[in-house]
Amino acid sequence: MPNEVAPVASGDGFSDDQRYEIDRAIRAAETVSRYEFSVYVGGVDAEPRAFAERLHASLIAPTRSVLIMIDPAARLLEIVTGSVVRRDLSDEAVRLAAVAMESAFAEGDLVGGINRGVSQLAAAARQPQTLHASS
Amino acid sequence: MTHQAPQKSRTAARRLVRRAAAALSAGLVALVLLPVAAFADTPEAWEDAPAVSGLEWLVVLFLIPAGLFVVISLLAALPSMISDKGYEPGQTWRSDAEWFGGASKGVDAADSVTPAEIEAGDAERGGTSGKW
Repeated sequence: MPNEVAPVASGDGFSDDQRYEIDRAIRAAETVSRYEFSVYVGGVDAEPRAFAERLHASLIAPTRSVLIMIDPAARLLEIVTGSVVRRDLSDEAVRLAAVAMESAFAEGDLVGGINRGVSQLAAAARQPQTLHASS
Repeated sequence: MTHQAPQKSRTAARRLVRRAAAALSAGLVALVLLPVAAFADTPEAWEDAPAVSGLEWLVVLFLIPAGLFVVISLLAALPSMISDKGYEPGQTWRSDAEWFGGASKGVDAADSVTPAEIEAGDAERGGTSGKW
């Protein structure tokens, strides 16, 4: 369905400032969690979960990656976590971040929701530094 | 005798009210009329003020303030008019898809992934779906 709408003006997408803000949030998240984050914003022309998994599979290191797919027109959100990420980032924690993002999106705050979700996922995926390693 | 005393006091009260009303109205009249004394003419020693035409009056009192209003509000609105606001809350997404931190080939890379690769690559993947 999004393909029916021709891309009109570039002003409808993100501005440079907003792109920078999202890039910075992703970089901060990767620094915090040591996992790869990727955010896709745009139309989905297939079944959303399958499309998100395909995007995730095409990343460089899928097992160590988190993919967030957002379709603002269809109001869809998909988060895919790789198998290695999943050891630290439970599906419950992902669900919590998704709810935080959805509430921001419902208010119309797309950039803020992305930033909040990415940082929340990173915080949940962060492996706490073990000061006393148990033998 | 017994019913004369209240009558007397009633007339006294009525007199008091009448006197109060008279005093109040006199005060009001004085308050309104007294400032008349302040409406004095300009002193003789002063120069005559130059005559102001209707057009001049209009320009100074209305056109110049209105012009300043327009210029100042334009200056205030200019920065936000010039800058690219980008996606604003509540808009529908009409732009092309954007992928941050995605595959270098872009979305085309996802199209070339076969279902077998998806299954083989990472069967243990997790995540969630949502709508808003």
